[in-house]
Amino acid sequence: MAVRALSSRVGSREHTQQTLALLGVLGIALLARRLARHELLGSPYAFMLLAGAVFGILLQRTRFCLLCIFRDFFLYRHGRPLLMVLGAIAVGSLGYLLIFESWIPDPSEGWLPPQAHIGPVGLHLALGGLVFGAGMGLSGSCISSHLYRLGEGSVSGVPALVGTAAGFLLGFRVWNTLYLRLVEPAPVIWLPASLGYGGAAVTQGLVLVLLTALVLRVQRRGPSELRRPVTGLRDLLRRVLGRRWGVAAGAAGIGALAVAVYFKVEPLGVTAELGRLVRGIGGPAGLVPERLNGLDTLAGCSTALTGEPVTTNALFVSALVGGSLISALARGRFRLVLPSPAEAARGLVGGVMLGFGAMVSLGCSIGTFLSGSMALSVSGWVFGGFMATGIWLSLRLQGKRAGERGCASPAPLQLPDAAHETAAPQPAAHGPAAHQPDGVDTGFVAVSHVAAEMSRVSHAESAAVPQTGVQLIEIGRSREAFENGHIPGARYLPWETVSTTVNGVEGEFPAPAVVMDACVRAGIDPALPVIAYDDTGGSRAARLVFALRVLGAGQVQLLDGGLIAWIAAGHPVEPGPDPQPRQTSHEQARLRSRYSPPETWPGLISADELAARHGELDILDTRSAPEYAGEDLRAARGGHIPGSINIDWEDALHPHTRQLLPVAELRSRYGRFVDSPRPLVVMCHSGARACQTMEVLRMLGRAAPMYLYDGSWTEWADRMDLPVERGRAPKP
Amino acid sequence: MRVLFRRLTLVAAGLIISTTAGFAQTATDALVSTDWLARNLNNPSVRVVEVSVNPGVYERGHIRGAVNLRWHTDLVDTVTRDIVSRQGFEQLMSRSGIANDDTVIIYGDTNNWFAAWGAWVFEIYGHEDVRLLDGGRAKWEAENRPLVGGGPRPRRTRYQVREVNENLRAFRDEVIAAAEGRVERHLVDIRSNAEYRGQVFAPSGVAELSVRAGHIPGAVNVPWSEAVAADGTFKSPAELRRLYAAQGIDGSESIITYCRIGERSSHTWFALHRILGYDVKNYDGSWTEYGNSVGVPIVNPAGTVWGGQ
Repeated sequence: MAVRALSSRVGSREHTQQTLALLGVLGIALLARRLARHELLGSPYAFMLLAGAVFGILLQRTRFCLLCIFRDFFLYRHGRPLLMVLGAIAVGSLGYLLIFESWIPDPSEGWLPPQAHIGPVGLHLALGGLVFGAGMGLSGSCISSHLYRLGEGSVSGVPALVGTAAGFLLGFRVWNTLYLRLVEPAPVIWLPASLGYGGAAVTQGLVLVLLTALVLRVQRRGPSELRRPVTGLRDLLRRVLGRRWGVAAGAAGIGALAVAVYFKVEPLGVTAELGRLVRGIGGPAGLVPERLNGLDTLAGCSTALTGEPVTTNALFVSALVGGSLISALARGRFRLVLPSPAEAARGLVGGVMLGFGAMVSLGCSIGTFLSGSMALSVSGWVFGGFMATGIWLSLRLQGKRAGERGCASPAPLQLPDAAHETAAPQPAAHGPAAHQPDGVDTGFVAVSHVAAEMSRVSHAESAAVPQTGVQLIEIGRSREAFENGHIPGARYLPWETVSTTVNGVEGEFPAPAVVMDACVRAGIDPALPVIAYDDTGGSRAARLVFALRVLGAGQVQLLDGGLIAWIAAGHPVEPGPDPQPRQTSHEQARLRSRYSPPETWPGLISADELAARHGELDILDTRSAPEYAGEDLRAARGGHIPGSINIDWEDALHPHTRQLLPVAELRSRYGRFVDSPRPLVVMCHSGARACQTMEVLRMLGRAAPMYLYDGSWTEWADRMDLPVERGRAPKP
Repeated sequence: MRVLFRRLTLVAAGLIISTTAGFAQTATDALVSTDWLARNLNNPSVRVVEVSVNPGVYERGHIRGAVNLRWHTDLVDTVTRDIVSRQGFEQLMSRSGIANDDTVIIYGDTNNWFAAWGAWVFEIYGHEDVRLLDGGRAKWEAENRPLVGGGPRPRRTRYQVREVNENLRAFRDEVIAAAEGRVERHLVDIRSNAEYRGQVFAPSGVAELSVRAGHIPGAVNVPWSEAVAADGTFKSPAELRRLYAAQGIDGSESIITYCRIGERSSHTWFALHRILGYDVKNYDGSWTEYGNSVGVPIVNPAGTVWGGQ
């Protein structure tokens, strides 16, 4: 009942958001109609309003945040989003070429295509690009992404936008000096003017191919986007309305939109109106120089005052925010996020850098980089290069924390959208985990919850909230099996991480510090939630959970049913190697400092202690009945510890999905151990399956002490001095 | 003779169409209506020229077959502060596929101001048959008539300027002589009344190019806009005659029109000279040159003094 009530409440909130989205679409359509019929404004204004809304939707749906895109590449060598940018430039260049060819039949005559952002190539672009890129890194995104995140409810961008205005003011104040020294002497280089359209197309194509090759070479093969065939109109609608769009859709959409707005009105750009606003207010106040040398004659995002009641760029930018809002609402993803004081401060300072960089470069990552490179202007590429360098420098200076700011990093959980299909058919919910939609730390987490979490994390990318991603870890299978197919976004740990041979005893924990080192190398942050899974239903992953808890991890859970339940629920797996993070020693040290490894493993009991305290302990043997009886001989001796009770760990699981049975059934099976005040020792053959049963008992609420006999049967059987009993016991 | 004949047939054709269709598809030797142009787009002797001032306007959509002449560079000489040279004009025409005996129809944005400048330059270089599209680009668009993108690739011609009509252009000395009463001229200041009265140095939104405000002594003020109807087309010849006669401009004496930079005054020049047939010169140096000239008298009713440095 509770679940139903909860889901219907969530459902109605989404429903409200979607209704609002529909109203938003209607509102924009009506406004466009009014503009189109307006006596003075007319169709270009209506067009830019609609284009702005489409741009906002595109940015929101493709997560076209250039900071995230470059950061993912620099820090995590995740290249696909960067390919989206290159793809958009490719599509845009082709469209621009078509327009240019028809507008300026002979490019060598000395005419530049009207309005195209073909600016001078000078040191001002280096200055502007570097400062702008660094400002992106500090404030958490570029100007266009601050704008689209505003539409998602992230107020965090407001300090950055205020800072941007201040940065413009700063830029205007130094412009006249910069103009005379750097801008005016700089040549305007339009590729077709010297190479002809064919030569320019080939050159631009080569640049794009080389950059693409570079990205493909450097990137680690991340999870690819999984595709299921569209099953019908409803499915198609759901996909378009409900999901993040892919790289190809982003590239084609943004490229095509850039061409369309240039053809119809003016090149894509988001800073003109902001600059105009600053000039309009700062000019009369005496803060902006009365004359800005040459500024209004240069191609770029023009901040010249027009004297018109509204400009096309003002409509475009407002509609961008509106479009993003509509897009977020349609997905039920509008969420108010307020910045922390530290975030606000970073946003403000980063924003000043953004504004300054955009002012001296005559545009930002959109107006100068995208619109410039699409227009086959060298200025666009130069600005883009320096912007990327600025981002890189800023990430280096910020160290590891850089990965936690602005957009969520892909490292903990890389989420292709196909994995978000929370509506996929679920086997009947069995275990208690199914009743924990909020991820309460019961030790188990439902497959459906993880799938939902994935989609939430992918959204967190947008919301500029601090890192909330879950680290999904697979353990127990061979690396080869992992590479053949794993849960999207999972990282891999070899079984040996938590199971090795110590003093001749197989299946023992390595020293805590050794386990910690392996986890650090894998990039596991104990401060962030961890979900572990395997392909057995938890016997392997539970051992990792045990270890991580001892090492100081805050929230560690088992994926209920693991890979088997995941697949059974219809969620996708994907091939690919383990996305191992590249870390500097500094980053490793920082991660290591978050662990608190003890000298030795607490919660373990040795054979000697077990033998000595035999009378005061309950012993639970989680092996199969034939192993317990000595019929299935796997060690020197068969049988079990005298007085131990046998409950096969698998008795807690659904035989097919490997998910936990309903709580009532588990209680009836394990009840006497849950409520008993006597200390309990749990064992199996080598100490893996026992960990899973311990998790079950923990989940059921056992409070009294509980020990893992890590030596388990492999050790006990070898210790000829210790007694053994044979034969099946009556099941409790 | 051939040109004259063609002019007559064009006018006749326009008149026949207009009478049969029942509304204004007229063409005079100065103006053609949008209807007339729409019907004559396939006429091989008609060449359409766009002279707009806003960048990208022509490229995004123009009347089919129109060639683009850029006011800032094609029709002026940026080095000598002059109109395009005779040789430059010949090259421009040849490149644009315009022959000496073509009927040239010019139109443009911003009320045909720059188109009128274009017509004035064509006239100076003796092009026989040049007319304006009445109402310009705005009227064509308002009537939802089709525009095309892309550029025509005209077949080159060998254009030759046969005569230069110097008497269409006034220079500073003549204007000063008129101001000082040494020659009899009617001066028409077509700027806004606020500019004429010296209250402002330039209309809002455009640069102040002169250090003095006011007008040339003896000039009357007839803002250009009074010559057009609400839809941007010129008023009828009778209305125009009345309008200017009320200010004493009746064609009895030579007229000089001026404004700030000479483009809006081209529009009035067109009304007075091409429509009413008066003897009119356009002073393209205009207030930017006159108002800045040393030792030259002005009238400044408002008494505004330039406060810059």
